[in-house]
Amino acid sequence: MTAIALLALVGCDKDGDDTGALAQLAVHTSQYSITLDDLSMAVPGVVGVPNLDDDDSDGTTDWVHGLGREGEEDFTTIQLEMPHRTTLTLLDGADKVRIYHEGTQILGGETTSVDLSRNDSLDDFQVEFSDYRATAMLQVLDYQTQDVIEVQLTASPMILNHHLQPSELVTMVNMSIWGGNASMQQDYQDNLGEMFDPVEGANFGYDVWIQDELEFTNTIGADGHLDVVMDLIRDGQGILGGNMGLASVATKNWVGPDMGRGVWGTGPATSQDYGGNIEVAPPTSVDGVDYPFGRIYYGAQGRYDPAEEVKEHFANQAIQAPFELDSSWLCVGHVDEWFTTIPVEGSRLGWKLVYSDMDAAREVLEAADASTTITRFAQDKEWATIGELVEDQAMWTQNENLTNNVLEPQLDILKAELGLTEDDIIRIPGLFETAAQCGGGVAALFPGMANLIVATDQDGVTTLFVPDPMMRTNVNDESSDPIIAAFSALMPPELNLVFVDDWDIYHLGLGEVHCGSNVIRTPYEDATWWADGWHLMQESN
Amino acid sequence: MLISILSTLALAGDWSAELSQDAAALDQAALAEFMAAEPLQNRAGMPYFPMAYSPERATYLAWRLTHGDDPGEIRAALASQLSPVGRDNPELILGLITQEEDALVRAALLSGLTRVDPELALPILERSLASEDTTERFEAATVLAKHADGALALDALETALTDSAPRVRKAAAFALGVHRVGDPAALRPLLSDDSSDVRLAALDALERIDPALWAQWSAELGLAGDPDLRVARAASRALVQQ
Repeated sequence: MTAIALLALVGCDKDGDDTGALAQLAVHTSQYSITLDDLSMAVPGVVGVPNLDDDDSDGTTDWVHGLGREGEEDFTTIQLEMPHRTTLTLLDGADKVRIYHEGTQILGGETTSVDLSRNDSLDDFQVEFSDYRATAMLQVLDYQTQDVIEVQLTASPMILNHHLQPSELVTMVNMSIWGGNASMQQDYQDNLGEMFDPVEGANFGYDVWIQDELEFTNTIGADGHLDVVMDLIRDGQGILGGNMGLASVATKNWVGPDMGRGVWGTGPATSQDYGGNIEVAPPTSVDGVDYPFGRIYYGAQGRYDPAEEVKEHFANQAIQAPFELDSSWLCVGHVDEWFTTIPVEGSRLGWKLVYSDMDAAREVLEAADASTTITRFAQDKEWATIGELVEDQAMWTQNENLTNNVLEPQLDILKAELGLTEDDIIRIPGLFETAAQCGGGVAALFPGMANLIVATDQDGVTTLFVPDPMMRTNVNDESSDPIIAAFSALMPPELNLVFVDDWDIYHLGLGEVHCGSNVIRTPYEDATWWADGWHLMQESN
Repeated sequence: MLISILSTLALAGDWSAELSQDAAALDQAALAEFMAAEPLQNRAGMPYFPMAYSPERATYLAWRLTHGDDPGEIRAALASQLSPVGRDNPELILGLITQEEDALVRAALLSGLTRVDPELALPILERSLASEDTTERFEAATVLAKHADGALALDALETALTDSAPRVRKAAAFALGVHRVGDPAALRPLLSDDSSDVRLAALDALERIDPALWAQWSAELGLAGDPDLRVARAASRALVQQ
C-alpha cells in the first residue's frame, strides 16, 4: 500500500487534571478526528483499504493470515484518546474487520470486546478490513464518564480508473510473429519511456487483446491506496490450439505485494464480460448529484450482457453508479469501439466525450480528392480510392441506419446519464462496416479513432495514442491524411497526438489501439469517497 | 441460371493452373511455414491471419485454402481474407466459389464479387441466395446490397424477404433499401415480423423506397409503441416526418 503519513491532528490538553493528560475521548485518523464534540465523520468513520493483496507472495490474500506476515502494510492506523479506562466493542461486523494493538489482535472474529487501561499518550491501533465496503461498528466507551463514541469502520469500494488519472504504467503484448507490432511499441516507447512495459506474447499464446483480460482498479483509505486487478473471466484469445492466452497474465505479472486480485463470475464468458466493454467516464454531476469518481458504463442488451456477478459487484460498489448501453450491434460488442473520454483543459467538466460520427466522416471524405488511392483499403478491403468510398451507397445507407437507430439514441443515453450537452462532445470521423463472418455485426471501417489510449505522465503531459485511419496513399505520410487532419483539428492543442499503425494485427482483427493496451493509473486524488462520494454509497446501504 | 453459371465458369479461366504456377514461384520454405502457421484469434474469437500485404499474399492464402487440411472455420477465414482480390483477379474468386463444397467458405468468398462484372457475379450471388446454408444466403444478400448492379437481382431479393432465417430477411430488406427498388407491399409483412431486427430493417428500407408508406404503415401498425425501442424510434421518426 502506498502510505500517507499520519498527520498530527491532535491538540492534546497536557495540563494535568484528574482525568489524566488526555482531555477527552476521541478517535483520530490521518484524515480527521471523531470526538464527542464532532461526530460528523463517525460514519463512514475509520476508512481503509481491504487487505486483499499478497504481501508475502504466498499465493493467498493477506486477510487470510492476519497479523504477523512479512511486508504487511495495508492496515489503517488510528489513534485513540482514552482519558480513562476504556472499553472497545465491535457492535457488529466482527467477521469483517480486525483491530490490532501493540502487535496483537484485540478485536475481530470471536473477540468483540476488550478493556483498555487509561493511557497518558495517544495509542496507535491498526484496523484491517476483509473486503470491499466491509463495515463494522466500533463502540468506544469511557468507563468512568460513560461517554460513548460509536464510529463506523468502513473499507473502500473498488474504484475503476478513468482518463483524468495519471498513468503509472502502459502495457501491451509484444508480438514476435505475423509481422509483429514493433512500430506500435516504438510509438509507445518513444513517448512514454520507462512508463511503457510490454508483456511477452510468447508467454501468453500471442493473445494481443490485453484490454479485454483485466481491469486495473484501486481502493483508497485514510493511509494510502491498494491497487487491485479485476481479473475478468475471459479465457484468452491467442493463437488457435486451446491455449488460455492472457488468462494468467495478471497473476504472473502483477498480483502480489501491493496488487490484489479479484474475480467475479465463473464463465463461460461472453464478449460483454471483457474489459473493452467496461469503461468509466470521469467525474461529473447530473441533476444535482455529484459523481466524484465518474460513472462506470458497459454494454448490455438481452443476452449480450456481462455476468450477473460482475454487474452486481459494480452496483454494490455504488461509488461509480454504473449504467448500461447497447453494444449488441457491434460484432465484438464493446463500448470502447465507438466512443471514449479525453481530458480537456478549461472545459466545463475538465473532459469531453469523443464520439464516432458518420457526418463528420462524410464531410471529410466528400471534401477530399476522390481519386486518392487508399492503399491499405485497396489491399485489404473493397475500396481502392476515396471516391469509391464516397460513392458506396450500401456503406452510407448502413451508416445512416446505424446513426438513426443506434448511435444517436445511445448518445442521448450518455447525455442523460453523464449530464452532457452537445458542447461536452467532440464528434470525430467514424464509419462502420459489416464484419466478415459475424452474422451482420459491424466493426470500424477505418481504424476506429475513438478506440484510443489516454496516458498522462507525472508532469501532466497527456498523450493520446490514436489508431491511424490510413485514409491516404502513402502510408508513411500522415500529413497527407484528411481524416488525421480533421481529427487533429478537433483535439485540444495541449494534447500530444500519436497516430499508431495498428492495421494488420489489431484493426483487421476487429480491435484497435485501446483493445491492445492497458494502463495502471494513479488513484484519483481530487476527491475522497468517504467525503465527496459518501452520498452515493450511503444511498446504496 | 445454369447457362449463366456455365459461362461464369468458362470466364473464370484456368485459375487453378495459374495458382499452381504462382505457388511454385513462391519461396517454398516460406510457403511451408505459412501452411503450418496457427492463425490468431480476432477480438470476436474467430481465426484470422494478420499477414502484412505483399503481392504474393493472395497466392499464400489461396494455396492454403485449396491445398491445406484446415477445418472449415479456418478455411473460411482464409477465404474471407482472400476476397478483396476479387477486384483484380475475379477469375480466382469465381473459380474458388464454383468449386467449393463448404458453404461457409463459399459465403466468405462472396464479398470478393462486390466489384466484379455483374454478368459474372450476379448468377453466383443469386445461386447462393438460394443455398441451403443460412450464412451463404445472408452473405449473398449482403453482397447484392453492395454490388452496384445488385438491383438486377430484384426477384431473388424479394423472394429472400420470406426466407426462414431472420438475418436473411433483414439483409434482403436492407439490399432493397440501398437500391431503392422493390414492391413496398413485399416489405409490409416484415413490419410485423417476430424479429425486431427484421421489423427495423423493413422500416429503414421503406424510408428509402417510399417515405409516404413508411409513415403511413408505421401509424397503421402502431410501431411507435413497438417493444423494441429501436423500432419505436424509427417509427416515431416516420410519424414526425409525416
